[in-house]
Amino acid sequence: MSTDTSAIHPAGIEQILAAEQELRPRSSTTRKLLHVARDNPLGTFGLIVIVALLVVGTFGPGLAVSIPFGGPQIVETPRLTSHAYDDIGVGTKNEDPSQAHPFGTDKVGRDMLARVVAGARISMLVGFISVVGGIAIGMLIGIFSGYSGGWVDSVIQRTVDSVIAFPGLVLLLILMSVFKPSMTTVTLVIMLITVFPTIRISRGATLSERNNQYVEAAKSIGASSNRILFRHLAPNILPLGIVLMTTSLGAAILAESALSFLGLGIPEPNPSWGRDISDARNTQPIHVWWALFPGIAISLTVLAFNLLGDAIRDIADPRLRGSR
Amino acid sequence: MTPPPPLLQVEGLHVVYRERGRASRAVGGVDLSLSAGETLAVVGESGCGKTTLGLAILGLVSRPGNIDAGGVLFAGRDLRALSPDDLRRIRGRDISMIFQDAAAGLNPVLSVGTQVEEIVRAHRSVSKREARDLAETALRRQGLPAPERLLSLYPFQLSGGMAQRVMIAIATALQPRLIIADEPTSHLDVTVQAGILRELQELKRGSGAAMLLITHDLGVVARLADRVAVMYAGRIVESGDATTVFSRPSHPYTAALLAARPRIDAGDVPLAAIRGAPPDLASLTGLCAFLPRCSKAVTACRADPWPQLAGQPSGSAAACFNPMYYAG
Repeated sequence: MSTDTSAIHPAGIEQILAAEQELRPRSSTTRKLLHVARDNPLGTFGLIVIVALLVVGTFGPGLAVSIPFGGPQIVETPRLTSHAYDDIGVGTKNEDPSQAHPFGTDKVGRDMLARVVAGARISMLVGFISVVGGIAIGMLIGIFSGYSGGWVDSVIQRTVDSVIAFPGLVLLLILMSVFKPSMTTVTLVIMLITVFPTIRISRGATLSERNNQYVEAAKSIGASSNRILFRHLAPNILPLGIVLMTTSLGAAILAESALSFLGLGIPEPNPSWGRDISDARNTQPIHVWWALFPGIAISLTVLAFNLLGDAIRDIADPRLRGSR
Repeated sequence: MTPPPPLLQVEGLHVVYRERGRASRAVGGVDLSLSAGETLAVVGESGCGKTTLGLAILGLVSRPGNIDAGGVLFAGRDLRALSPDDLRRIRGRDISMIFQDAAAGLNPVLSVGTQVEEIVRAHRSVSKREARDLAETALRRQGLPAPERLLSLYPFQLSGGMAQRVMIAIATALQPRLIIADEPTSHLDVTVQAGILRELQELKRGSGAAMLLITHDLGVVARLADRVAVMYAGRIVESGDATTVFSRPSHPYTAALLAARPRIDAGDVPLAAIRGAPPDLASLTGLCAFLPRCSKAVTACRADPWPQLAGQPSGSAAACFNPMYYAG
C-alpha cells in the first residue's frame, strides 16, 4: 500500500481552511446581512415594516407627532401631540383626513392616527407574547412526544387531533366566551390555539430527525437520552420554530383582530384594529376612513410577517436557497 | 497453552422485527466469540442481519425490533442484564461502533470538535479544555492534519474520507476494548478505502482492541480479519479461520460468494453470480434458507431442518448437509 493513496487529501483540507480564513476578515456581518437582504427583497420589506411597527408600538402614541405628515404644521398645532388614542372629542365626529387628523376621526371624535398607532402596540404585544409562548410550549411538548414514542406519543397526538378538529375561530370563540375578555385572556387563548398545531409539526420533525444515523451514532458512544434530545435533536429542529413563529404571528394578530371585531377581544378603551373596524361598520360607506386605516394596518402587518416568514424559511433551508 | 477467555461471547441471539403482523427474524440464533486483539469479520449479502447483529451487541436494536432470546457476554458481564444506564456507560468507553455512512453518522449542525469531545465528556468528568485536548489527540491519531483547526469545521465541510476518519477518531477516542465496524469503507472510493483500511490495521496492531468487522467486501476481510463468520438469512452458515474459509470454503454459499468476486486476472469471463435473491426473512421455513439457490442440495436439505454448525474437514465449521469436498 503506497502512502500517497492512503494519505488524507492534504490539499483538500488546506483549501477548505484557507477558504475559511479568507472569508472571515473580508465579509463582515453587515456585508453578509446586506447580501442576504439583496437576495430577499420581499423578506427585507417585511422586516422593515415589522421593525417600524415595533418602534411605533414600543414608543407609543407620542410618536404620532414625529411622523412627518404635516411637516412644520405639527409644530404649529401642538394639539396633535397631546392626542391620546382615548381623547374623546379632539376633533368633530367622523372627520375626513385633514392635516390635524391625517387618518380622520371616529364617531366620538378620537384621532384615528393615534388609535392606529396605539393599536400597533396592542397587536404586537398580544401577537408576540402568545406566539413566542405558544411555539415554545408546543415545541417542547412536540419534541418530547416524538422522541418518546409509544403510548405517551399516542395520548398527546390524539389530544392534539381532537383539539385541531375544531376550526380555529370556533375554538377561539368558545374559549373567549368562557373567560372575561381582557388583554391577558386574549393572549392566553391565542397562545393556547398556537400550541396545538405546533405540537403536531414539531413532533413530525422530531420523528424524521430521530431516525437519522447520527442519533444512533450518539447512542453508540454512550450519550444519554437528555443529551441526544437537547444537544443533537433540538438544534436540528429549532430553525423550524423560528419559521413557525414568523408565520404564526400574522395569524395571531389576525386572531386578535377577529376576536375584537366580534366583541370578544380587547375591551374598551384600549384601541384595537379589529374593534375599530367593527365599530366603523355602522357608518359605512359614508365614513370609510374609520375602517380603512385599521384595515390597512392589519393587512400590512400580516403580509409583513408572512413575507418575513417565507424569507427565513428560504434562508434556513439550503435546498430552497437560490431557487426563485 | 490455554486459549485466553473470550472478550465477547454471543450465544443463541435472536432478533425479530415485528411490524403489521409480520415477524422478520433478522438474527436467528447466532453464536460467536471474540478474543482480545482478534478481528472477526461477519460477511454476507445485504439484508442478512449483519448490521442488526452489531446493533444487538450494543443493545441498540430499536422498535419495531426486539432481542427475543440469547445472551451477550462482554468481559464476563451479561450486557442484556445491565440497566440502561450501565449499558450506556459501556457504549463508547468499552465497546464502540464505527458506522457505515460517516456523513449521516455525524450531526450536521454540530462542529467536529463538539462531536469528538462528546464521547470524552460522556464518560469522563473532564474540563472543556481537557476534552478539547483529548479530541485533538484522537484526530491526530487518525492522521488528520491540522486537528486544532479541524475541530471548528462542520461535517458538510469534510470530504468523505475525512468524515470517516473523524468517525473512527470518535469511536477510538477512549481506546475501547471492542470496536464494531459496520461497513467502514463501503461509502468511500477505492483510494480512500485503502487509506481507511490501513488506519484500521494500525489501530488493530496498536491498541490491541478486538474488532468485529461487518462487511460484504471480501477484499476488506482478506486484509483485516483473523477469523470469518459467513451469515445468511440471519444465521451463521460457516465460520473459521480467514485463510481456511477463503482457500477452502465448506458451505456452498461461501463458495458461491467467493466465486462471485470479480477477478482482474480471470480474462473475459462472465461473473459467476448467485442465482435467485436472498430470502424474505419474514417467511423462513425452518429448512436451510439457502436451499432455493443452492446447486448442491440433497434430499436431506428438503426434509430436515437447517443443521447446526459442525466441524468440517477443512478445519472450519459449516451448517450444511452436503458441504464442499476437497480431496487430499
